[in-house]
Amino acid sequence: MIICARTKSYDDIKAWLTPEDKVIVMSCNICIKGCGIGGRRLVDRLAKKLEKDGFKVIHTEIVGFACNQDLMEERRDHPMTKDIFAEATAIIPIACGEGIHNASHTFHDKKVFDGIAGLGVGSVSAKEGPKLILPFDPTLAEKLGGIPEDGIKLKDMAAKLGLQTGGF
Amino acid sequence: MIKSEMLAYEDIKKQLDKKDKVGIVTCNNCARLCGVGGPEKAEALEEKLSKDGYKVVSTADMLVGCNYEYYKDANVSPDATALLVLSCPVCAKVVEQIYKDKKAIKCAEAVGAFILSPSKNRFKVEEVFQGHEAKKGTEYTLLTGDPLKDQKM
Repeated sequence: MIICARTKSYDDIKAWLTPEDKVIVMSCNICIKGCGIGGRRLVDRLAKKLEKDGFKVIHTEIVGFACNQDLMEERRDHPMTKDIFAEATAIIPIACGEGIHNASHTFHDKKVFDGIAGLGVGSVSAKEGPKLILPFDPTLAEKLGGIPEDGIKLKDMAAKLGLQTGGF
Repeated sequence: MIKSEMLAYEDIKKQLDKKDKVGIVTCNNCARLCGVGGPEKAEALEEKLSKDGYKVVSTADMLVGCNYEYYKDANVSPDATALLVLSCPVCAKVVEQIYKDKKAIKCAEAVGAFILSPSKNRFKVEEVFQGHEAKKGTEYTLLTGDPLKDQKM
């Protein structure tokens, strides 16, 4: 799975939105859920927070795999969802870099929030959570002071890199 | 999704001993989509190994190979001495951690991350690991990993 961390905060989302925006919060349900950043519960929590702060969230959506272009386009074109997606002005995709790229490609006429980075590939377990084993950026291991054979815990890595974990 | 590429069969075989009892661990997530994992690849590898005189004792068909929890009921023979991992190198690391009494053998190298389109029967590499920079933006056929010359994604 792709190991992700947040590069932006909830305040960054608020600063990025305007009061006129019609917002859709959507999440991938695979790697980003495994990393504790996305999934249904955290999408609903973010939508509620935004509504409390006066923003207009018109829809929330879970996309099984945000890296699957067809699934993203299906949301845009399906009779059940096309009107709501047509109405939206801002999309907040909770996904890895590839999922965010897909959202930008599919909803190119809307603004798309980019606040999560995919850092590399890793494993997940109930005991230790997500761990990064193979970083995309070869200098990351050096920045982290090395990566153990069985990986580095996402929380530890994020703390060292000044990134954030958990839901927005 | 992670794009991996199979090592040459000879390079996989080199890591085995003729006395080894071989288990195959194959991933059905990213690895299957990019033509490295899945039951078909496991069967093909088993056939080749059997022809070459190796004894294959089990095949574990994993839903996701990088999740430790899925190994609790994995079909890995206790008799196996070497486990061939048809998945990305991260799964090989996971197998190594779980089955410390066996040799975990990496059968593929990681290339990068990809997006996919089943309707176009292809996937596109969007992010690459060091050494694979030339493959960024390349599109491949789903389930086989054959590179394509054109771009549709």
